[in-house]
Amino acid sequence: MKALRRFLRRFAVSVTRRNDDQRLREELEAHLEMQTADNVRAGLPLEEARRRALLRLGAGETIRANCRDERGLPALEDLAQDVRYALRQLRKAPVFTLTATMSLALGIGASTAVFTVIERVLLRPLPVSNPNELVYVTDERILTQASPRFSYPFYAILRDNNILKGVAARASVGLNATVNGRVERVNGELVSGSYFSVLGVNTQMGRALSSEDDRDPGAHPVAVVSDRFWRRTLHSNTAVIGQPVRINEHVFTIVGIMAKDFTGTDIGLPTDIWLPMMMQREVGRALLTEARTNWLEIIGRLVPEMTTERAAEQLTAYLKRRTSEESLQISARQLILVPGDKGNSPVRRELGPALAVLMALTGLAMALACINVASLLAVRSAAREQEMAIRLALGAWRARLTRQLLTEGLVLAVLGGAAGLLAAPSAASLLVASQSPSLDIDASLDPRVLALGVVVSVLSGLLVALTPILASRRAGLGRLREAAAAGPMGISRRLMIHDVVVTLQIATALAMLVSAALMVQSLRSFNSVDPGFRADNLLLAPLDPRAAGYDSDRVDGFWRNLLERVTQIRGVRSVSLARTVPLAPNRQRQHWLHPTSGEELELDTNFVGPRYFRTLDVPLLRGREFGDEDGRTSRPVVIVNERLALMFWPGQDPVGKGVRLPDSGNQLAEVVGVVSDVKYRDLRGDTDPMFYRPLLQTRSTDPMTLHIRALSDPGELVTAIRFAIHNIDPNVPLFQVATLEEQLDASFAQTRQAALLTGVFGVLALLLSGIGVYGVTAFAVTRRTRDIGIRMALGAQPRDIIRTIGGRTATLVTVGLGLGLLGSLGFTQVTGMLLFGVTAADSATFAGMSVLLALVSLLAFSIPIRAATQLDALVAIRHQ
Amino acid sequence: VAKRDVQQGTLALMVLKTLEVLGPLHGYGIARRIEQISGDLLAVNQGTLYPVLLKLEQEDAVSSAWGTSENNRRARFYRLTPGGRRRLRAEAQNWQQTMALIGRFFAVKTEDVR
Repeated sequence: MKALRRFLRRFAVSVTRRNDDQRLREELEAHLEMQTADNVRAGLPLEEARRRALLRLGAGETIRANCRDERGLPALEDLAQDVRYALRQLRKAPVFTLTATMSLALGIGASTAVFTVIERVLLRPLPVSNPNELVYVTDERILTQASPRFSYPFYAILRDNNILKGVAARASVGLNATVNGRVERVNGELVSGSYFSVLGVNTQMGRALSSEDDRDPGAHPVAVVSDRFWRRTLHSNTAVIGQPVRINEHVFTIVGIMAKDFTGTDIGLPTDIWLPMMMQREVGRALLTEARTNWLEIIGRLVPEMTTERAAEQLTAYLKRRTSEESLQISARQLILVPGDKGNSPVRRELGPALAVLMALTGLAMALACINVASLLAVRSAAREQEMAIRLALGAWRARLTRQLLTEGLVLAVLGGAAGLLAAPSAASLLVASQSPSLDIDASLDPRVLALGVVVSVLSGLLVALTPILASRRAGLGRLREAAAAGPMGISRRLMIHDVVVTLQIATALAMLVSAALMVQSLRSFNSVDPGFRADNLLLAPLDPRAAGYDSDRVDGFWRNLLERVTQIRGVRSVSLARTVPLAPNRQRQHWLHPTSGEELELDTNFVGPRYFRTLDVPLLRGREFGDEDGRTSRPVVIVNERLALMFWPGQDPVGKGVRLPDSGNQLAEVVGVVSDVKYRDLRGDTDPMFYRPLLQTRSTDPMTLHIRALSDPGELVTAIRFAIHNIDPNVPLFQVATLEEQLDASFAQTRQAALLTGVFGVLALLLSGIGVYGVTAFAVTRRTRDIGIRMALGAQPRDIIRTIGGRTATLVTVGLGLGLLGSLGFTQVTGMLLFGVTAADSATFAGMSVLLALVSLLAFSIPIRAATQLDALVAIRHQ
Repeated sequence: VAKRDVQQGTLALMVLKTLEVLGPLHGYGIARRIEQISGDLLAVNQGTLYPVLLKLEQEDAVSSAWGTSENNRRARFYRLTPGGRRRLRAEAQNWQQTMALIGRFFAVKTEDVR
């Protein structure tokens, strides 16, 4: 039925086309006659009249051709024909098609995924007006910290300057939002009234917060919600403006829904709800007059034509003037302004270089994918040489053949690209998730990334098609004859392109394999490094007491109660709490006075619960561990790590020494214990000096993480723990339970990804370079069968045959390995930062991988050579 | 190609207007009319008219049928369709707006800008 319809349509097209042509011919003839008649009437002789009419009308053939162009779509028809032909060719060789498509899909998918993350974390400017004018106000702490914070009184002084166009303050705060009786943990942000106007962002509905909402503490219970929160939790209900929402223990009124694309200035931590700075007490912060607590990020907008350096200079001068006037407790600092156009990200500093390395790796993988496919196509084109020669002989244009081959490459690229781009978003989410469990980045393809993916696909298609096209240029009428009488010279010339491809393949394969081997060794080193704690069977559950309305007076009771309840759960060995979790992004620092120099130092300080070190299995070197008795009424105590002991009391026993606490009027605390160093920041490198303080002495209502050491698989405990917490206080929800092992894994995720990527491509390249070597050798053997036969008849030994044929292959492999070694050396310099416990120029790895490749090449070489040496001389001579 | 497109666009508009004013007409008649009014736009090549006519017909702006010319010659006559009439109105208005706008731009003197 379908075939019949198609036949009829084709028939109709061809018939009408002829009629159209006929009609046009008649029409043009009538036109000419009328013009001639007019010309005759004007007094011209008939002949001249006709000639002028013809000139006036123009060449009939051109007109008809132009009309034909209008009528059909010849370019598209040709393309469709090429695509159909290419698809038919690909269908005929399913293994080839699958290998080539997969190779390209892997390359394109991986590079698109990595680029998606890079674009989100490193490149994308904030969706605000003139992001280039935005600056973060920081000081010399920027050298060691990603984003130095300031106190509210400091901000209040800085705000009144007239050097910047505007200044805003912000701080992230975890919130419990209750909608329709359901509690949800959301990312909140306390912002100054100037925040939205300084950034220049607006709401899609309702209004943004203004300075009117930021006048008196506790007087402005209003909130702006994000588009995501509005869609997800409020079900896109447009009637929510003016409606109440319960946040922690207080009711706020929703006044606006933020523009769709703006999710705050923190990349990786999208804001759900913005609250006025003056409402901080209602969400558990009371820091408006606290000059010693640095918690605010300050964002400013430069006036046009102002440089960051000049503005920083003037701001510092302004600050010196004001602080001396008002004799405030704030030391005037040398301010540094850093560009704020891309917002701030807790992960950018750590992730940036690693992502760049991953990008370089995927770039190489992409190149290798192209070389692989090109080599496969080259092998095919050798097989199709006869076909090409015949088509040329039958009158096909060379350009048409080239276009055909190009179409084949592009069809492959489109197939591979489509598969890769389809997989890219999920690959990107996996990539994001494995970098850091807390990172929240939208990994969907955006137009820019998509465009890049398409460009990469098309380029790879062109590149891939290059080999067969170059090979086909020499395919000609001569080929047919030459096939019958191949001379050694002919062979050496015609193998050139395959040689280049095989050499490149060996070189890139070596670079990939070396890189993969180094990554695998690094992973092994990572696994064998002692982090200072035991990670297995340890469950982490972050909890925010402030969100449930606990103040510093009531919070201790909650913690004690919680510890007691959870300890009783069957399968739990030990339970404790801590502010800072090993290898998680957040660190807490406090100011401590050095006992001998009296210098004030900002040092890592962890607030931990009783039995913390026992729960984490951190060896106690001297003194004792914190216990239940270390509470608010008992003597202040601290525990230090080895490095701190060495820094504060070198050569002495720190136990029993006194040290001034950073807050509460610089009370004196006694050191009661020394523990061995724990790697909190990174498994690589040294640990930092660290103070531990008993949580129950700090009055802190900060979010803490419950640490649960299970007897066996901790996953089974989650429900019981959830239940226990709910029983104590249903307002404290439990979110994001993770294991310490996951945290540990995430800390070397990039190395693992690099290992996987280079490993997969390395092995693929190893196989394909084997096939390449096989192909080149087998081809030489087939072409020279008669030659070999004659030599053997004349008394040549197999050794001679091997030397004749093998010399060429050996050269290829050697050159490939040489190039590969050079390439690897350069390449591992780039990937060096992902390595651990192994040097980038590890000679054993280089040698090992070279030998592996050489062996595979030898194996691939020996199969066709064996066949050659076992030829019967007489049969060989009669060959072709 | 771009240049031809522009020319074709202008030509198409002229063809439509000619058919509106003069009623059904054959290719030669349309060519003469356009020459009379526009001077040398078609002077180079009357033939360029035919692809335009074909395109207009494909777009259902005009229809065509064989007929007899004023001096009894067989010729193909083009006639404006209702769709063509609508298109002519829309394009004419569009054209005038553009003209008015460009006109204003050229009318502004340098002093006015300052």
